[in-house]
Amino acid sequence: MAWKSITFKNANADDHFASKEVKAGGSVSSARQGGVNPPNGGKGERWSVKGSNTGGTKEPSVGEAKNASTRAVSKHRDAMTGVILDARKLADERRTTLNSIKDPDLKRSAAR
Amino acid sequence: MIKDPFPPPRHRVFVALAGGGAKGLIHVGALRALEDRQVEFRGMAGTSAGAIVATLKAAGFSSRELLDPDGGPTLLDRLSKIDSKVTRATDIFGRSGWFRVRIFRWAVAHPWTLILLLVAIGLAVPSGLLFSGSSRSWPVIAFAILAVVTFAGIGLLGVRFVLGGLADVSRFRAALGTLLQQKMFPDEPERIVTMGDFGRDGRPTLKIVSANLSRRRLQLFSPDRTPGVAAADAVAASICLPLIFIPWRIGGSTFVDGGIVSNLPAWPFDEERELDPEALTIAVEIADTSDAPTIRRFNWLPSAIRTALFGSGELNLRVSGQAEQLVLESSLNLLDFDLTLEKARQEVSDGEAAASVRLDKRLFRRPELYRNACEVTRGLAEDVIELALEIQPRRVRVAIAVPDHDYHHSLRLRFSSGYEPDADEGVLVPLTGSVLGSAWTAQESRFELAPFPDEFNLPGSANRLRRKLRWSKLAWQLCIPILDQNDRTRFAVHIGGDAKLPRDERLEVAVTEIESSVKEFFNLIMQELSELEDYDGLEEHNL
Repeated sequence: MAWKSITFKNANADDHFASKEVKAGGSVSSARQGGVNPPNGGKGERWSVKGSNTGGTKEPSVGEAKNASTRAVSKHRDAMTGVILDARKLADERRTTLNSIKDPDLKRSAAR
Repeated sequence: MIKDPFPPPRHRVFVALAGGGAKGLIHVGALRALEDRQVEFRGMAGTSAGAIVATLKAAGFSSRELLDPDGGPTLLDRLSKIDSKVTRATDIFGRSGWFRVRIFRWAVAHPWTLILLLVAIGLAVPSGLLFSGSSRSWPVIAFAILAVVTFAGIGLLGVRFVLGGLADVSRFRAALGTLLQQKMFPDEPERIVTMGDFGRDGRPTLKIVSANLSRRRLQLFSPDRTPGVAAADAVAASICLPLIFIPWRIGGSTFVDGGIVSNLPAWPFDEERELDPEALTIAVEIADTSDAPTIRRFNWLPSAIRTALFGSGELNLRVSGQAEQLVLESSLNLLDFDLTLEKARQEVSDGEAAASVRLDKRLFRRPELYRNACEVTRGLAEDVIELALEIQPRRVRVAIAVPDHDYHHSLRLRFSSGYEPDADEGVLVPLTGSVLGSAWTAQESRFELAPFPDEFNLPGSANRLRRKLRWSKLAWQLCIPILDQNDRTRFAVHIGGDAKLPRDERLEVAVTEIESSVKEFFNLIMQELSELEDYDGLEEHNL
């Protein structure tokens, strides 16, 4: 392929991205869904992996790349979950500290 | 316990403390929050109440020695050992001075009562004179004359004190001078601590702002500019709020409160910050939140004074480098020096909690969390490239792009991972002329392989120096804007690397996998931190 740039569209469409064909004057290639998604609204539990939906239209090497990508991402799920749990802890502790402030003006300014 | 041979480097900080009268108690809490984070104080600056706290901290007092919310002796206990007449905070003003300040405080709080009283006197005096004259009774006439003289005397005294200052800082200045000497040079009782004694022998440098009326300009007291000036004199010059205190004289010059020229002195550290760009500058501003009255023709003066003292915080932070502004508000009033010790301890405790929340958000825990997220993202991108494309990822770099405060045409790369050897760490990227800006503006992720399109390749002479800074080996970049629930772009994840990526469909698969995973990851982080995320760079400008 001769493309050199990809512009991803907003996630509200099923078509998650469109690749820009440089030689073909901007025609749009096929789309792909998948990747990691958090269960239960994504509250930091261990993530599951949705099945890919390439529709069998890709070359075998593309399918292998897809599987390899998924494997690569799954290697980092624990680390990502750790960061998200840290974020939750930070937010919880912040809430507790804010609630301990008695001066209403200080409380308001701290909450900004 | 084995001592860690490689302890993490301490944050070096320059701290600027704003003036605010009794509200300055917050500074003690803010210092305590900083001390708990093990920062290294490299410089202190202050105006008015901020000058007092800054000087004491630079002299070596810890926040707990000043006023510990958990109990124990206070700074006043030390001062009372030096001068037995200084036992309360109000003694700064002197006993009679504080009495006059209380009357002034009452008059400011009850302007209409005062006006009615003056009108009543204005009507009563001529009426009394007429009545006494018509009575032809000498005792009545004598009483009327005495009353007129008394009212006139009180009026003249009032005018004299309001114009000349209600209180004198001499007693406080003397006690402070001795206190500094005892802390810094306990073996030299005759020693006068000067500004030149700061910034050396392991002590932080000290900068104090005052207004020099004789020269009609701002006066900065510092170890370099005024090494021979006594530190206590500099503090006295900085705290003399017009009307409240008699102006302070040093040499042939007369000084009043520095708040009228620069109430939040973050700027005096410009050079230090440029020499040590990684040092943090923390400006603790005391915001004035008292209910603003409806401004009419005859009540604008108090609001003008408050605006002069508290309204220029933003200007004072227009300095080179990034100064972090800690805006704290207090329900205390400017002249609430007669609060109880218990209330003072509570205010310090609240100040510490408020400062902790702000510091963790702006400088410590939240930035650290985003740095970790960038680090995880870097590992993820490297592995996807290696496994999916079967090539060595070489170097991958990740940063979060956010607008600086009140910047609207650029993004700053922050919280980065993998940028350490390069000159473009923390660089400012223009929205126009960059891949990052294109992704930010369009609110769509964007991936580009080198050579990058001319229109996104930092074009034009304005970007000449920026092009030099950019990592010359950058071969690809992926920019992922992260939107909030209101579809506003909050920040963008910028991923780049120097590997020559194969231009085939596997690349499309790999890039898409990275994009979707990273977007989900940061969306979840933002969801957890939603209460902490403010509108940096997207602030509404309300008139």
